[in-house]
Amino acid sequence: MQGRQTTLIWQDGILLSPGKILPGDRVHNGMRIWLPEKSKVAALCHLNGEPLIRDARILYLGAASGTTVSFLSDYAEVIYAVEFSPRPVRSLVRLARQRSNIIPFFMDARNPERYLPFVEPVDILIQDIAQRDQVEIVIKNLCMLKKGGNLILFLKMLSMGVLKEYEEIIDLSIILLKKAGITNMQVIPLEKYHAGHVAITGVYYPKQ
Amino acid sequence: MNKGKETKENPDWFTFCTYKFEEILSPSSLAWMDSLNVIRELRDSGGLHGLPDWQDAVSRSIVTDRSAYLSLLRDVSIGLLVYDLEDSCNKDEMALIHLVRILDEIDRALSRLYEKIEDYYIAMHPSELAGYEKNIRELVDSFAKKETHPLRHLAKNLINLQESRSNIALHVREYAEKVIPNMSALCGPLVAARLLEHAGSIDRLARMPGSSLQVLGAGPSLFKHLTIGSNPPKHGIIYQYKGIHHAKRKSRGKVSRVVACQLGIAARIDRYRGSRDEVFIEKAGDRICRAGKRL
Repeated sequence: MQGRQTTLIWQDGILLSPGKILPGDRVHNGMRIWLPEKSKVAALCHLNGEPLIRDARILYLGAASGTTVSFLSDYAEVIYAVEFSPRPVRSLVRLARQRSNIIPFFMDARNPERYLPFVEPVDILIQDIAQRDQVEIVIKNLCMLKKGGNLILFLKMLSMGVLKEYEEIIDLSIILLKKAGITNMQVIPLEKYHAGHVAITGVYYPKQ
Repeated sequence: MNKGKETKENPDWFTFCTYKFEEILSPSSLAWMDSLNVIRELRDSGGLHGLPDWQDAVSRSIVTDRSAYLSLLRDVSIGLLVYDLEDSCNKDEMALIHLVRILDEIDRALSRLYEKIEDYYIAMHPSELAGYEKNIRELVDSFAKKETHPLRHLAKNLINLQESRSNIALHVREYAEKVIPNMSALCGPLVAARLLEHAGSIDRLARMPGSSLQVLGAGPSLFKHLTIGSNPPKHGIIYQYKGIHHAKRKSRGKVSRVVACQLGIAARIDRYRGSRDEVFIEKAGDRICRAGKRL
């Protein structure tokens, strides 16, 4: 992540997205608005500058029905979207049929070897899975991230244990990620837009 | 982790898409289905090369450029996904879960409307301090029979809805006895079906410890217990089992603990064996009986 360099489209302090307008989108000057309340990636852009998503190859774990994925697909070159719940996958596929750069997988991110044969090394790995073992899941998937690629991990605190303090969860996650080769880590609280969520960003330099 | 690098002899996924791209674009073609099936089998057995390089596909003239590669990959991926979706769904289990949801939704709708009708009746007859002596069903019946009553139409619909409800309940019983026979035998098909609905799938139900089963459906009070230390809930959905709500207040906790543990075993038999086990049912029933008597 390189400072506040902007490669995304901002107008009047609103983050916009240049793609085809989908039903339910709000529109500003003829472009879709990428609302930080709706999408954690947009919230991250608002709070901490932009990840380098323009023309990037992205692996997105926990795509759900594809709201965020649709915005990312406006900017990125290709998105590999993984989702394991049958209901939202339907709308994800509908989206992928309309947009040529979304490649959907109906698989469990806990078993990356199932989609490993189809995914190429990516520039950015984004994970938005609200599960207790979400840090372990992202570490399993690091093999698909290029050396020097960016990791964006959205932690949902409540899913990681109701009894633990937030700081404790974050510290533990950072230790695990550091061991797996993530450097330059930053913790960005998303409290303003998404209650109980924190983003951890970092760069992947595997030790070998 | 990087399995692909070690097993270079494994083929890439696009090796099997050697047909002309135009042909492949019609997903109903036989060639397309064949390719998909081969890819799928190899994927499931772990026999595909990991992290493919799109330039390999170009150099082997399977596709012409990167955008062709991506759109081929997308078509393959969607094709595989459709297969997987069909496979992932256990029809009977899903039918049961969704029928239970519909049933409970009807119950909610009925009881809300009954309440409003009762309010209407009380408002119309303010001097009947004892309340109406009839029960609410009779009240609705009498409304339906009156020629010009403002609620006549609604009352008729409610009677119909009640009929649909009992009809759906019959089907739920039938499915529950088929999908989760042992659990149904222990605590009754409707309660068993609600447990399944709450857990989401038999797989998850079978992996739950008895203590989780015991408080399934008592989420708010469980989290209250965990966070601020109030008393833990004694029972969730299993409270609806008559053996528990008819038990003495003091022994309810004990009975529900035993019931939950036996249900946990039943869930595992249902998931991994799938047939009714009379010996187990008798033993478990006996234990539940004894738990209610001992104090």
